[in-house]
Amino acid sequence: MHFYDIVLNSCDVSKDLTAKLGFTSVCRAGSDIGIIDANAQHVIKESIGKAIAFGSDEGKLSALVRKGVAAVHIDGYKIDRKLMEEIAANDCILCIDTKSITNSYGTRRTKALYRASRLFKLAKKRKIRVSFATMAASVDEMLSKIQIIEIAKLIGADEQYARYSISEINGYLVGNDD
Amino acid sequence: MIKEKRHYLLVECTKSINANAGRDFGSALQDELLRCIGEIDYHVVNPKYERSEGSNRFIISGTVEGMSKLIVALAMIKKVNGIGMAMFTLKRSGTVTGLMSGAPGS
Repeated sequence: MHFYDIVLNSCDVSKDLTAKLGFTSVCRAGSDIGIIDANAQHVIKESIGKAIAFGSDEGKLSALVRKGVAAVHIDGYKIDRKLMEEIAANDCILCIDTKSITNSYGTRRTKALYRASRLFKLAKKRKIRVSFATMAASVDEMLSKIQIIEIAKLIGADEQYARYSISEINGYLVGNDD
Repeated sequence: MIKEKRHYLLVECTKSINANAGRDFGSALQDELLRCIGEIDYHVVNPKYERSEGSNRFIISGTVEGMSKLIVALAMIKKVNGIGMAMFTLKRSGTVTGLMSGAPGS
């Protein structure tokens, strides 16, 4: 089984570290896979290739989902039922990053955990595919495969789904969907 | 007396843990684990710093029931002894020998 992680463009991961952490490859959002800032002012009219949309504006995220974006990352894990219905109808993937949980402290962390678990529960109910990834901006924010699986279980996934998420779903996003 | 079943984790840090002061790092790490896991669940996890392996790796053990919480807590700890660092759990095994054999990440 192959496992994949997705990090931001600023995170430079060596092949040694990738193998140590238990991944087949680590994909950089911004260079290996497209990244779209949904909060940006301009409207995208052309069709979108395989890309991840980041943002908090539900309207703009919904528009990008209808245009065919591969995955969506909702800032702050805000739940918007209409957006979730659009994601389910367009077979889009929902990204939940572990960085928001591991890099915060105290009540901010507990709030992030609570919101992530509620978002995952709703996604599971709507049969939306969920991708668990670190979205790390630096090596210090990265996690090993074992750690991502346990954090996914903490959010509400079972072991089988957590493994499926970081192998098949992340594999599809990085372009290794064989 | 019933012996509790324990598992071992091989953990790598992004900074050196200073092997000469291994005990200080071990007790500082256990303080951070207590803060992360909480007093209520700490006895369920019962973590024990076993030893260091080189300048930036160490072995820690915990009960089988508390292993998930221990792995998550190690992911959440970003500072030990005032030094900012990240910790990667490379391997989990029921024995120290099993931990040290094979490639990490497998």
